Amino acid sequence: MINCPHCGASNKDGSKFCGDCGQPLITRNGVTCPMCDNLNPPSVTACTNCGARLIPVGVTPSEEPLELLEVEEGAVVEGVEGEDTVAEPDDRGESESLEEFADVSEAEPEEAMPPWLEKLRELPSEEAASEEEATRLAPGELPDWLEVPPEFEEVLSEAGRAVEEEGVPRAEIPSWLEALRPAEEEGVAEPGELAGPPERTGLLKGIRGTLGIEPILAIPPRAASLPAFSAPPHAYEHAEVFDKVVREPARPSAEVVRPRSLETLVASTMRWIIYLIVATAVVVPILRGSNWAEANMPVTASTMAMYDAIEDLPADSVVLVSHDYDPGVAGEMIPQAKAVVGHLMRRQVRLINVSLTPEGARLSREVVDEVAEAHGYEYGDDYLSLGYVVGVEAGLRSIVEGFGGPGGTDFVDRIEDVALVVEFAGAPEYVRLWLEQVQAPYGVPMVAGVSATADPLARPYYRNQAQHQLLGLMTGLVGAAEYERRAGHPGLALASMDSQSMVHIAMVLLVLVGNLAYLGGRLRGK
Amino acid sequence: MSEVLTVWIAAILTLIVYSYLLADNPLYRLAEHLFVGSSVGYAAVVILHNILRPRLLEPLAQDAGVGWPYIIPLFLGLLLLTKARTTIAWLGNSSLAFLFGVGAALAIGGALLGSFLPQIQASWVSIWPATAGSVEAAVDNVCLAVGTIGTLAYFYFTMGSGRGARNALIRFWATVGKWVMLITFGAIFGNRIMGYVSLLIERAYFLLGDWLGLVG
Repeated sequence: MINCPHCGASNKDGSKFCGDCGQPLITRNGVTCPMCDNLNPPSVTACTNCGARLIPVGVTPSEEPLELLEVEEGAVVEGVEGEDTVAEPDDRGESESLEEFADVSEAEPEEAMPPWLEKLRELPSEEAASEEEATRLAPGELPDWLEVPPEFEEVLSEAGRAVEEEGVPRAEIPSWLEALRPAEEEGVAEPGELAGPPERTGLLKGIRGTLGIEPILAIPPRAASLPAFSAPPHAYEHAEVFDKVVREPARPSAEVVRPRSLETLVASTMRWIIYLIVATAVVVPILRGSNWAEANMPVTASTMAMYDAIEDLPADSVVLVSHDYDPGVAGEMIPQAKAVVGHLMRRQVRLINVSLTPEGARLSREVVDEVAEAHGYEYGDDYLSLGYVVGVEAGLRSIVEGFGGPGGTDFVDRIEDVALVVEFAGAPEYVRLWLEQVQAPYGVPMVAGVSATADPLARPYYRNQAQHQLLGLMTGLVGAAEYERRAGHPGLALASMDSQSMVHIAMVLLVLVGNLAYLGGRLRGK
Repeated sequence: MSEVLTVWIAAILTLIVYSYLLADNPLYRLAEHLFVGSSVGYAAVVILHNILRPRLLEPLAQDAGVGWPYIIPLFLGLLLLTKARTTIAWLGNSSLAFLFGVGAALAIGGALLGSFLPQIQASWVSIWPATAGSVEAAVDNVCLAVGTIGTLAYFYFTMGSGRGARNALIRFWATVGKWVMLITFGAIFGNRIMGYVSLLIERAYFLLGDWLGLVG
């Protein structure tokens, strides 16, 4: 069954027109042209094969002026506007155009007339004429469906009087709707005119010229079918609200006069007060050279485990150190690298340095060279740098697989000979990358120093002590300070801890004060 | 002399970046563009000198008879350049397919071996003090188990919206998981603040020590 998209009536499969309203039926794949059986997309208004019109003539809201359309054989015919296809006595221009169109059609050779036009010729048969006569309405007579039921006549008459008393202007009816007026239509239409036979069934029963298939010549260039519109109730409510907001005139912005009180002065300068507090908390301990943390800072278990893993390395063993950070976290990572590389060099191990970031290669080179110079290490003999490793997983695998091969290093023959991997990671992805591509496949012991941001995502690997994923873990500048303290070589990280602690205390106090002020404001507001 | 000049340039650029605290200004934009531009330029130079020249061009130039296999990656790399023009971009598809194929194979294999299986195994913990080792370890393991189950339940989107005891149970664990994740995100945020403070301290040491010489 095919349901008519216009009236909803059910039609049997294969039908091209609705048996109830006469509209072309749109199947699942499109609309079939009744002239040539071509299957067209649902959105088109004319057949893409023969040009036959697929929408009713009467439903054309375009009010564009008539335009000239070219006929195939060079004849020029004045186009007919869709809403005016029903001829009117005073519409001389259109009548002339229709006559011209008829003349042109008659002037064509008989054999050139297409079959679908032949069918149109056969329409006004005697049987059809008798039916037309039976259904034709007298002048001023309304069809059954337009007649007012008796129970509403009184209500409508009262409403009409009320409207006249209030002086409500009459609505302007568009021309295409005016053309559908049955009374006027019946008053001017003569048998044999181009208005066409009246509708026999449906809501448009008795109205002429509203349906039917016409050639593309009769279609106004801008004719378009009116799409069906439906929306849920809440959409209408939203539309009403939106319409109300749009129509509401803009209110002039009121001048806000703010009193210059102490509270507003503090509010406007609060940002500077916070800057000043933080700057003081940072600078004062540095200038005073305080070293409270150097003597009192506790060392966490994860940092201690990292220290122990390096402390247990035998001399002349080879350690692979990866510096995977950039300048954005260099303030945390470089103190870590200095503390750990210094410890490694004191253990007399040989170092292979790599980096998975371009900036990390340069930053690590500066750190390692500085520490190596302090410990008497020689580049090439005691340590070397493989630089930036590109290619993420594949690049890392190629480096560790290339040990001992051409272009590799002679420090070790294979990755399994590396005693420890030390990873400095500015982001947790780098820790995961080394664990997944090196530690797990080759079973190389590994420790990591990570930025404070990366710690929560790297710590589960340290907690997995049963499988020795990370033997040790230190975090941020605090971890570097712990390592320096444990190693007994205080440096920049340990010296920074007093400033770090002061800033943290200041921030906690600021949060407390801010929340108390907010709470007080709310209480006063109540 | 060059070191002094470098320190002065670095100090001035540092102060320009901190001028953003006042308001967005042209000097800050200049420093920002300098940073981005120098980073990209440095990365290009590093790739040319550390990757392309020693690992591709030099082996080809030294002995083409031995190094001829390097023509394959060179050819695949050149095909990637066709991605700059849409009309011939399809030529680079084979190179991209090779890169993504190898990368995905290594990533999936590594994730299974290095993260997925070990972390599942690590979450299989004892919550009894006798077998966990101590009361503290048992409490720690309970938190781990509750957090894992709750987080998994939170992402069980296909269940929990209807009625019934099973849906109510999933909703309960999803709420637990939501709070566990909130605590985790809070910890990450707090650590990030700590990291930024560390960067501020490092810059303060640079300005007060290397630039002004107030700190030894």
